[in-house]
Amino acid sequence: MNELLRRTARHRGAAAGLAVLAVMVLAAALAPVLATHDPFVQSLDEGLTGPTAAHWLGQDKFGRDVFSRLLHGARLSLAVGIGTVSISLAIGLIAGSLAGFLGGWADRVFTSTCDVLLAFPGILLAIGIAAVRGPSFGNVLFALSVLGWVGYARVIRAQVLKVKAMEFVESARAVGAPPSRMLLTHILPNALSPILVEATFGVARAIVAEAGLSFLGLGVAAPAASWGSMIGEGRHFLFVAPHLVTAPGAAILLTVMAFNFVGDGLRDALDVREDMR
Amino acid sequence: MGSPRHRRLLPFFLSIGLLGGVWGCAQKLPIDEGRLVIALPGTPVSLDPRLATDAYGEQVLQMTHASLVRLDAAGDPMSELAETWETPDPQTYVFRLRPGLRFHDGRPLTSADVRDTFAWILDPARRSPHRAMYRTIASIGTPDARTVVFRLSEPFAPFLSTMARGIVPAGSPAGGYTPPAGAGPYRIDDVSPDGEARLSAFDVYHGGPPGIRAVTVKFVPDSNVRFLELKMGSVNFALNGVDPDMLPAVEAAGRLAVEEAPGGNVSYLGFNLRDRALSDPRVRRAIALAIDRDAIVRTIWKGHADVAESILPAGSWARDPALPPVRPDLARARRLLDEAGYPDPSGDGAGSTVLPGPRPRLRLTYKTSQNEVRRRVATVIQEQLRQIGISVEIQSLEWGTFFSDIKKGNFQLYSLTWVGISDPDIYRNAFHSRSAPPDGANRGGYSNARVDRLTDAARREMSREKRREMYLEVQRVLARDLPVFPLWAGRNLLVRDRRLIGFSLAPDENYASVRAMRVAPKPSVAAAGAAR
Amino acid sequence: MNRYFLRRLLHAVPVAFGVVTVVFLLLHMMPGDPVEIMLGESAVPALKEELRKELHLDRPVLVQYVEFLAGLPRGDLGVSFRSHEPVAREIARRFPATLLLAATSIAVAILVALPLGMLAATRRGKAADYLSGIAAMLSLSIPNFLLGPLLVLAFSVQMGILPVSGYGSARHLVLPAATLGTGMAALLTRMVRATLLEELRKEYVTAAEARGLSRRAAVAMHALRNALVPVATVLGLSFGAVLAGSVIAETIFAWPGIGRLLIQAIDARDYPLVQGCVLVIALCTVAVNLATDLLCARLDPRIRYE
Repeated sequence: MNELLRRTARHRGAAAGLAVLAVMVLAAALAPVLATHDPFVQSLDEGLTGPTAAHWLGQDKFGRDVFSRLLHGARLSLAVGIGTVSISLAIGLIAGSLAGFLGGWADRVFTSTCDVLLAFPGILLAIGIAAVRGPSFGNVLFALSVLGWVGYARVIRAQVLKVKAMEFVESARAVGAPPSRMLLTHILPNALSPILVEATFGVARAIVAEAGLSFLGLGVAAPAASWGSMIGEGRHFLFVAPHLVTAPGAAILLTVMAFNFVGDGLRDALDVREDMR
Repeated sequence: MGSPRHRRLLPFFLSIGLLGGVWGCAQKLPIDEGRLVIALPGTPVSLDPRLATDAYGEQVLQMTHASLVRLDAAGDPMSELAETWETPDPQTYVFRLRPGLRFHDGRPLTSADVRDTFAWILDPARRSPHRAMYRTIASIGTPDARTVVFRLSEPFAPFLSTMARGIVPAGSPAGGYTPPAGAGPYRIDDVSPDGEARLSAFDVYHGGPPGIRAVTVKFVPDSNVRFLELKMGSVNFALNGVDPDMLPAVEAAGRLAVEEAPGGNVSYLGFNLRDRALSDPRVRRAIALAIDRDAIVRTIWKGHADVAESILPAGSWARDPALPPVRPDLARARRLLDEAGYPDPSGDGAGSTVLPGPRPRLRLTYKTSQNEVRRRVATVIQEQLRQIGISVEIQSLEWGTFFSDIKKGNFQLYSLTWVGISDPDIYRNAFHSRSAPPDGANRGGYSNARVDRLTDAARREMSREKRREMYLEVQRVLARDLPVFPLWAGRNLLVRDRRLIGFSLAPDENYASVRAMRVAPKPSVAAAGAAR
Repeated sequence: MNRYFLRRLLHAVPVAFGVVTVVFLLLHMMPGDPVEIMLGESAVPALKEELRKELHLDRPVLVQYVEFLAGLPRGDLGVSFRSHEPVAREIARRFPATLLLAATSIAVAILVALPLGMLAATRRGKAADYLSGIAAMLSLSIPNFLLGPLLVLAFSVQMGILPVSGYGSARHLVLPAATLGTGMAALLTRMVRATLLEELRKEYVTAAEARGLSRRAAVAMHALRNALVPVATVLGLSFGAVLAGSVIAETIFAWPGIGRLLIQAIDARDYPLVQGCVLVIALCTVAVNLATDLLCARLDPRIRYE
């Protein structure tokens, strides 16, 4: 009985996470179709109205439809999450393999750069960059990617070093195989599992970080709402219109938990050991 | 679930819960101890009257640092440290100090302290932001300990209103968070820069001992927190500190009273007249016709503001009450844009701000500070301008960047507030062609020979009636040219514990009358029971 | 052992140097003229020039950088634009509050996580494990800007037992510490559980059980000590995260610490103050990471440099 509970629980978590994510992605993709209202059109005199038959999740301060904004916000949040991870992954792939293959001073520069960047905890560096560059979608991506690539780069570098140390690489190099080929045939396949896990958590981290920046007024520009900025705006009405925080709050919590559950599931399934540093 | 470990943990959690309950019961409200707790929406930058320019700093100083004169609700000077004053000629002001004045530290306040305070501000090495305001002072004489004589280099009609500046002891070093002594009704005992300032009554104050003995000024930037602290009673006084949407909930709390009075602040939309599109008065007029100020006042301010046609507050003696109101007229706004050469490319009249869709007639950026209510207003104006095909990008910038951009002329549209205007000389500062920053506040580059002439003449004119005539004409010209579009005049909203009485709401959000406050006795338990 | 200590210490020096450089560059990318912000719009140009000279803003960036570096050993972080006080003094005044908050939230996290993680590991697969797993996941996923207001809503508004914000008594500490500590507690619980499970699989536990010791006693005696290394590492890493998280928590709860100071400095575009805050937080992180590594090496002699 206990064994069964354990198994279903574990699989249930990841499965539920995937299901939630599927719904989220679908909602984001079909937002223009599913939305019941134009997310930007205001009806000022209906501001802060709670849920009604016409507005399922109520209306914000400007009388805009919360449900429709939530759908469009899903696009933005997911775009920030996936965008940040993609950029970070690309940089991490290049930097990690360069450091691993070249070794020597390149590797030392890489290691020191990582150490310096990791000294800026959490969203501190992102706060600094966003404060300097002003609130916009591009700047949020930039601010989050500046630190985001380090994790992937380390995974790739470690894998490169491991593969380099193996004998078959020596022989492959002896017959003149270029590093790019080695990257494709030996390193990436082996690094895929840890990267997939890291990327799954990475999307969740980026979504939270973006929301945090928006909360501090350093996120995406005003009219185009992400869940983060919706919470930021709605927070001021927490005691008169709590739905303005709870609706996007639930969305963000659900999405982040889904990503985390899927990440956990992936890690277990792929048997990836948690990298402590 | 019923493991022994759980049973052992249960009492632990229970005791934590109980402890919380005991704490809750033991709480005593500040009002019961006679303490006034004021919430300010921000932290003062400086508590030295010679340096402070921010509203929060000035407001604390109004309780702690007395000035030669104080301004009444109409902006007219009243006696404070100076018992009397006279103006033998337009370039000479003679103040006679009250007898027996003392600073908080016990030192007597004499004419030397007054002279030194202003000499300090005028010393370029001190870099006081107030220096420009006193530039007309040529010399300060102190014939005896109770007489101060200011000689001006030219007649300067608003001079008396600039004398509402706190006096500090001669030789005080620049105070950061260790403010110099003052002669106001309260002394500053302690300031923790991000938390609060504690004040206590100064009984030697010339106006007599203040009624409330202890005052705490809390710096609370978050509007939710101000609201909750008021509701819980840990704050019992907040002037313009409650979001208009929260007021019904505040009133429902029963213990709190809400007071409302006309304010001295006017918010406006600024245009950059150097911009190709905005240099055309028809475009400015079209924008004004698209903005529904009534809706902004009704929904964003919940009616706690008034639509303004002039940048002078309602209480000002120079304000023209007969200015024609601008009412929204989208059809006319679109026609004006057509005439100005901005036809609708898509033909459907509207543009889109974010979604791909019909192309706008015109794209503009709108700069605003990060203030929550200002951002809401920006969002409303953005949507309203979309209705006439103008696509607006909002740039909500932190204050430093925002203000610096405005002063540099690096903007198309912006919104700001004139705070505490006490003298119509503001028109020279804001619209004279030679008042471009850094010499003044004509940020949009407005230039009109008539306005130049009138505002120059008015500041040298000592007759109020003649000055008024001049300023009325200035206002008519500005209403036609629209170098700025006045949006709303704020009202002051005070939320206080019902038992705190005696405060009089002044248009300039002045805290000076805190000294006249007292705590009414608590209604007895029996009476409360009978009422139920 | 000593050799490792020395190398690890020497490694921290270039990292700290890099941190200083990044912070300096970051702040010199900011738009706008700090002198104008400081003096106000009515300032005469000559006065601005004078101040620019005084603040050394008229010199080449490289010279400013060298001067900035030279000042650091003396604790000279420049002068705040808005208060005219030394940045180091401003930060020193706020830092104890942040330290108190960080220490409290870490202590709470440890107090919650150790028993909870042990409970989950020893009852693996049972309801307690399942529930604590869900709770940990929820706590891990909730952003602190959402958790903070929700805690206020529950404990200050509904129950009315804790103050909404402010500083001064133990009661003021509870909500911000809970906001900051929740995520870390969850992380730690999972870490304690995972490492304990691993240890429990190892031979010495089986051997101890064979010798007749109860399983729980074996956990307490052996496994816990070995589990301390990863726990200490997580704690070290979390310290930085707590400092960063304090930016949001201190803003919500009006806690007079360095995080709130940073946001105020950003709003006021107080260059030297922003620089100082970011620098101090980052350097603290470097120092704590260093201390963590050294502590881990002490706890686990197998750890060696590279």
